[in-house]
Amino acid sequence: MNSLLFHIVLLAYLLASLTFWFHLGLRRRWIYQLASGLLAGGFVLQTVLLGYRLWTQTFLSWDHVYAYLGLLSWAIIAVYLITVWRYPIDALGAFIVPLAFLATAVSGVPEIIPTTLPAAFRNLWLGTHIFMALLGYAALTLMFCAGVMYLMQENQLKSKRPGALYYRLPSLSLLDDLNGRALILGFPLLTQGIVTGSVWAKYLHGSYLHWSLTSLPLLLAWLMYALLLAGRFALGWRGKKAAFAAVGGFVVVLVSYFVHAL
Amino acid sequence: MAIALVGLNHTTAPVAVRERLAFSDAALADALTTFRTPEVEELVILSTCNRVEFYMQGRDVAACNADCESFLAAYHALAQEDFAPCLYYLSDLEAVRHLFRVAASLDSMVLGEPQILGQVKSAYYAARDAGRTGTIFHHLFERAFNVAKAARSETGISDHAVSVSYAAVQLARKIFEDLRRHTVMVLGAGETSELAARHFVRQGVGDVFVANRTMARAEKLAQSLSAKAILWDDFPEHLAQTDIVVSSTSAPNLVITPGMVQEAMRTRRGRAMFFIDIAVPRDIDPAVNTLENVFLYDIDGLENVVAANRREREQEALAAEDLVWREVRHFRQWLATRDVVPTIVALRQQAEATRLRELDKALAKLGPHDERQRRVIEALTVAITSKFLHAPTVHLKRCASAGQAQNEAQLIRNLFDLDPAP
Repeated sequence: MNSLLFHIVLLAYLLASLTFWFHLGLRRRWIYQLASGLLAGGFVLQTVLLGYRLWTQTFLSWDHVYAYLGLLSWAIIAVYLITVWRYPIDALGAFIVPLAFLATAVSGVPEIIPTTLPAAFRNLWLGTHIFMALLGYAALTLMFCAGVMYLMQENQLKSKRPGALYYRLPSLSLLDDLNGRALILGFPLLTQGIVTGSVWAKYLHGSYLHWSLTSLPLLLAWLMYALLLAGRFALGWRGKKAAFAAVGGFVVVLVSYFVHAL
Repeated sequence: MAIALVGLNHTTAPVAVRERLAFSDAALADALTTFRTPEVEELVILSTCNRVEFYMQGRDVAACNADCESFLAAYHALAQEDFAPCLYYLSDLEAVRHLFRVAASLDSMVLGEPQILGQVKSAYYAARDAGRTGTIFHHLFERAFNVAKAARSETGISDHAVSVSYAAVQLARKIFEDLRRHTVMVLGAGETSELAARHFVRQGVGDVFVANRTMARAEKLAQSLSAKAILWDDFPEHLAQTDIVVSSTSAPNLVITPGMVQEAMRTRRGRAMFFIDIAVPRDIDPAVNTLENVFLYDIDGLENVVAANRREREQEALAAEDLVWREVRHFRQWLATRDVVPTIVALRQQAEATRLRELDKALAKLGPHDERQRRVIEALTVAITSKFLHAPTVHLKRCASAGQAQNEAQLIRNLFDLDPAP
């Protein structure tokens, strides 16, 4: 449903992304505050929009990928806001908000005819499953951004010729720390997502292992998380390796989602 | 009322001229009392190793400048031609802007240097204590101190390290975030090692180890840094517990090899290490930089960082210049409001005087009257005068904030004959 509200949210996220990029370049306080304001405004409106859709049950069938993207972008912004409250990294907005914008934009692409959901879909297990899984994905997105920033800063430091990014990106240790935290918080979320998803599948299809649209990529994402955890704590993957792994893991999940949706 | 500035600095005069025109603290106090002419109402003299500037407030800029030049020539026993070509002259808002820029260290040899603000403050207080400042300079210099503080806190002009040792600490912070939980090892106990180590200690780094071929020198340095000295032969084992290594030995060959570092990294399970090699010839094999999570900077690398920092400061200077302009505009408004206040007061006084005169005349003509009638008539006169004055008062205030006050104020003084010829 591409209502006016949706377009306002989209515009807010686009403007916020551009403003964060401006801030990355010019680094004036007021630009950062403007970007944060735009983002917060867009987020509030998106909360209203999604809440309204949930309330009136005019959501698309839960099988629709595009619906998830809309919710995912909300989850990404929510994760960003929590992160920036604990880790005041000015540059983070410039990396993560554009991703949320893209997700929102793509979610509005198809022409959607509102349908009322069959009773089977109005289930708490389904809701929890989706909520958990999405937060897990949002954490994965955060790790991706932290990984990208880490690789950029590492490149700057290794080159021994600090450029503009050297000043604008935080320290390697902070980025690695963020990467690790996102992993530790995202993994249980994704696990919960799979567990509740299985419960719902049992409820709907009578079996815990029903392969529907979203479960395969979800499983894959869970595997990537498990791999990253093992890598970090058992194999001592830190710094550059962990960053590469976070970027790679995100790309794998993204690709798997698209492949599956086609 | 005008502001005049006469001065020279490191860009207009060579040090030979600057040193002849400078004022020591004692000479400054003396000059503040002896430089008295009818033209100069307020005076502040700023004298540092890089500049000598006379800030004056008076009626006639040219006259103030002339008096200042003759004073300088007389006081320092120089011919005016000897230093006149080095002088610059600024007046009114240009002078104000110059003062703000100087205080904010935008005019200094090293952009963002912290000393100049203190020097400007001392110059102002000295002039104030000598009784040479009044309300205008009090406000002007107060605003200058504010701009300087804002420039330092709101822009990055003083942020980035412009010395090699500081650059090393800054790099360490970009790798480790919180230095307090990390360990530094110093190889070589010479002066350069000591300097770098001291910077790290001052920035609150955790443990420090010192290693030198001569144990006694290592112990001496360790003592002065509250660090631990270790045997030279033991240092490769300690590498695994060290996060930052500062190396400046006088060894002619390499002291740290990639093999040593690889071994240490294995023990450390990949935790990052930062090597600073300030020795010439270099102590650390450059191949060490290719190892994962290891960062090696030699002197050239550090100089790159310093140069990049200098460029960053210059970028930040643009923001500081904006601040200065904003403050100059505010000062202009303040001056303009000062201009209109006497006029508004004079206008009101004239209106009030007329009102009282005519009121007495009318009451006398009226004959016997009671209190109530008297009050009604009084209220009438007050209402007429205040309503009549409202428009010109508001107009003057509006002109003051738009910076057009002087002409308007003069016009009103003429119209209402506020300055009658004696």
